[in-house]
Amino acid sequence: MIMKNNDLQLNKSMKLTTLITILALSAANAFGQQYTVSGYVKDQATGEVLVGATVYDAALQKGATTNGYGFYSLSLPAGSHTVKCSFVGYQTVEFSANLNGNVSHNFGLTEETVSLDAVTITAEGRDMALRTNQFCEERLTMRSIRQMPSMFGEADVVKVVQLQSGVKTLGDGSSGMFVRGGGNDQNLILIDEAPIYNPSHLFGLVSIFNPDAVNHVELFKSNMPAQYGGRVSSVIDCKMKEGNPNKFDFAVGISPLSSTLTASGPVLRERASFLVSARKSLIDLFCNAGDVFSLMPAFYDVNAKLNFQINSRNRLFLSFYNGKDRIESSDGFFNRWGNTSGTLRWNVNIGSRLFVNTSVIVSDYTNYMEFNENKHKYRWETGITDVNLKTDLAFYISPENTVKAGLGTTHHHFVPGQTADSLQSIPQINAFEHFAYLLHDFTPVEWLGVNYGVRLSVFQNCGEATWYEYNSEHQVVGTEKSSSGVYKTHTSIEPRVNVNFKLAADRSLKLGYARNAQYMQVLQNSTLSYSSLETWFPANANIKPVLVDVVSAGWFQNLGSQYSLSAELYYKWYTNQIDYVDHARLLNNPYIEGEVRTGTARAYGLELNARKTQGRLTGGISYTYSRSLRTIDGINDGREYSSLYDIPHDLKINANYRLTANWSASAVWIYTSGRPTTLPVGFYQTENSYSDLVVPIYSERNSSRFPAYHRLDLSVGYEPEKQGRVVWSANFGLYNVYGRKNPLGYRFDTDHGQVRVMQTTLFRLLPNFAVKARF
Amino acid sequence: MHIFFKRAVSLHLIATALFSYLFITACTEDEISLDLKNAGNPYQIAVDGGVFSYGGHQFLKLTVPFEQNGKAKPASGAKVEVSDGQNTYQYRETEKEGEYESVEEFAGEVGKVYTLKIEYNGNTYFASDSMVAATEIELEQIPAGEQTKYMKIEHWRDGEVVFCDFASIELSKHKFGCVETARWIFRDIETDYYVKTPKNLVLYDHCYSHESSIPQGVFPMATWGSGAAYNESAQPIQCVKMSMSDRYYDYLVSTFNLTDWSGGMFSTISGNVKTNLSKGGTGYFYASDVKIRYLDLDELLEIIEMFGNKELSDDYEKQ
Repeated sequence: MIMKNNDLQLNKSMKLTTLITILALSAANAFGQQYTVSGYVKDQATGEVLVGATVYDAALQKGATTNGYGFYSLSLPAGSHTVKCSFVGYQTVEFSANLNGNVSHNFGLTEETVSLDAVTITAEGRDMALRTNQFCEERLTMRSIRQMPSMFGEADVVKVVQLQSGVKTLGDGSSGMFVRGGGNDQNLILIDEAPIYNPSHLFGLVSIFNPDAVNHVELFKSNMPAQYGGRVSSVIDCKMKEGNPNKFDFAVGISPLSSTLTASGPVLRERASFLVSARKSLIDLFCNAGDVFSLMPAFYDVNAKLNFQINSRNRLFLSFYNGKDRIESSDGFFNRWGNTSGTLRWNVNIGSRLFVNTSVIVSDYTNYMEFNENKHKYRWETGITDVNLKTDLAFYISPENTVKAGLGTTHHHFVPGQTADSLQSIPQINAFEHFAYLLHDFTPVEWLGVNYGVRLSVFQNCGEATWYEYNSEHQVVGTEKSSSGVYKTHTSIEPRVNVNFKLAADRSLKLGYARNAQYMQVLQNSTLSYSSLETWFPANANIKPVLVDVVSAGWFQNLGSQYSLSAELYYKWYTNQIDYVDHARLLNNPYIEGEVRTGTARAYGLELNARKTQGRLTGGISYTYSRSLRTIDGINDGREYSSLYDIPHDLKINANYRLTANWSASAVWIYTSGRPTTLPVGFYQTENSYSDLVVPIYSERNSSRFPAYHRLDLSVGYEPEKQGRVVWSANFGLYNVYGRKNPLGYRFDTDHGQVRVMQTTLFRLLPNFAVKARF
Repeated sequence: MHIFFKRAVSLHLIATALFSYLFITACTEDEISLDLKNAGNPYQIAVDGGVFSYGGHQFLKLTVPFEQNGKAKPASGAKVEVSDGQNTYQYRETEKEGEYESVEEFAGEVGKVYTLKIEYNGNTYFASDSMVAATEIELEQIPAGEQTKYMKIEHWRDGEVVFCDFASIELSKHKFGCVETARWIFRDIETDYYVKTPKNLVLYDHCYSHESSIPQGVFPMATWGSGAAYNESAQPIQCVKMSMSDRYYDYLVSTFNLTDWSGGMFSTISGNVKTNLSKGGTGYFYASDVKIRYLDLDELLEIIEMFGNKELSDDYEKQ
């Protein structure tokens, strides 16, 4: 019966694929003799590709944007054309082309000289929202990220993503991201296409994204394009810089938490370049565990990239990331975690209109903890290792008609929890995850754009394995073993469609639907997003994949040349959402699935945004009303309850004011409703007169809330144009300026039977700075 | 060299001061006044006590749950009875409010299911537990901790100081995880607390024994008890082992998750303890088989040899 269902789904998928192909080809035939201008758009000074740059023929009102690799392809009728290339913050350049055949041309753009009244910082999102048929997309350049106040002086990608509407976090300093009602583990985080399973250093105070190594970040909230899959909430796609192919650049930076060293330059002039950037925490260089803190944290990370232009059509990239955190105490507690990834990528453009990207990706995440107790050394090790091979192709039939397709496979090796005692270890699991997708972006008439596609994903548990059978009471009733081959298969068809009604040049209405499947989840004890002891656990014979259906609608409006407004609505339905029973034991428990319950969830919200994108003063205001609710048998007596990140009201205001050509000031104010928590409604005393064991009593799960969270951050930045041999830049800031005591958590203490409530607060009025030298 | 050293020292001081400021002053804990929602408390009564195979007046305590600023109050005036399916034993309130003992003396029997019935404030509550057998106490089972040791100590006798043998067994208060779960008590029988009645078993500061611990949350928080014995008067120490049912084990694990093992914000998902009381009641009514063994100095030394901190013991012997 399962096979029949799979066959049925595959049949539907084949029909949809055929339909897309026919539509794309028929649309292509509607155009006459056309030639193509194609190539890359780069920053003239640094050689970095510019993603999202526009290449257009103003006379014909036809244009294309560069893809995630900086490549564009613009098909135009035969004849003479003036093709312009523009990008936010860069001077527009022109290229005269007499098209009687396909033309290859690379654009090199120069940054605009800063004019105080014409600074444009975040206009990209403003025009992109109107222009593209894709929905729920934010593109963050490092330039815009650096404008935001930061916690420790250093620009932080994750902290800026957290400032976007619809993205929530739990408490100060965390790198956890909860996008549109989704969990922290439901975000696909990529560095040069390699998945990252824990984006945090220092328990989340710093993200793993080194700002000196990042080119740009794309954030997709819920309506992901079909080339992305495996997570149900969002995609955070980070592309590393490629290194300057023209000359050597060096940068040294220091902030309270870390120091950074970056080098880039040509390997073969204008054909091959490299980038290496390394960060290291400072605290462990000067202190030993126990000197200042009982727990001593430390981290480092290294980004490296080598790219080689074989010829005008073929390029090769090799990216590497390695980051590790370590925390230890003088009494034997030791915890080390980190990601390592490598990507070998081959880009080839065939016949000007076809762009092919083929990648081999390796990603590894491990987490190792040990501590001493009663003469015994305990250890706990978790991790996941992926090997991925994939190919994506984009066929730019015309400016109005693009087809993308791809396929790939990933081998996952899960180590959910390994201890010295094999009886307490969670069995290791191997799995294959295959995918294929087809996507058609089509603008049949000027006022209508459609972006639709389908993704087929197949997840297969395979290889040597041990798993357990559970009865209806979630107790183990049997053990199953497999020595080889596939023993469980999950298949999902994931249709996605976005419709863009371009009502006028300055406004559009978008509607979208998407289905996403996720085959692995984090099992984690902590009620915060700080713990590094997470266990990635796959779908298997006992746990089904999470499926999410989401519908969205959005109104996008530009007001004049400086302002934009948007309003977006979404509603999401979750199937097979997991949560844990009360007192779930997730460590040292081979029967971990017995602690998990599955059910349904729903999330909905309204996001309102207003932005000013030009002038000395830029910034935005966003307000989100959203809910995230779950209904799971066996939890909260089966009644609906709030998820830990059900934070209804969320107001974020950010502003950047250009003081002079070199100095700017920024401010961010955040206000959110208190996050849900389970607080006791009473207590009882047990045991005896020799101890006062006071036991809390609870009512419903997550039925209480912390007080509202709010804070104001200010910063001043100095960043001159590069003129001399050494250019100094600096950032000084204050985090939580008015010292708001936002609670991180409560602890209930007892004193002779009396209950005292202790509140933990992080970071009241935290000054910070970062200094950098480039040469 | 001198200048380099001075710079290195000042850099160290600056860095230490900076990081100290960032982390120590940044992270604070304050006592706050928090209005806990007191509507919806699902429990009106809490039970602690049970039936032992150790004969006598069986004993239990009833308290009324309290709110944040309150204190445990005894549940006085309840009608309490315990039945084993054949016999029903009535309980009476002792001179201390909230403490109840059986009118008749009786001893629980292994294999029987005991059911508690409480009538209090117009409500009726039930709880039942089965008595599983406790195995005989073997020395290698005794859950001695790292600080189990032998030493000479000074003792005042007949106006002068003499050195006496001293054996100390450290016990983990809460250790869980082995196949045979049990509660343990170790005590010097010279004190007033040795087992005379089931009441002492309920009220004494007992500990729990299992093979290995389970880290709960990020930072497991174990608490430790200790037992000690002076053999100078050749008095053995008393070792008491009490069986527990699987349900009682689950209750204790859930209780310690919320109390001694709680890692605060890093804890597992909070929820109510796994009581065996019917709706409106919490705590646990247990049935427990009791085994007692007296350990003399030779046996204590045998335990120390097996589990104790021998290095520490050797040091003390040298003194």
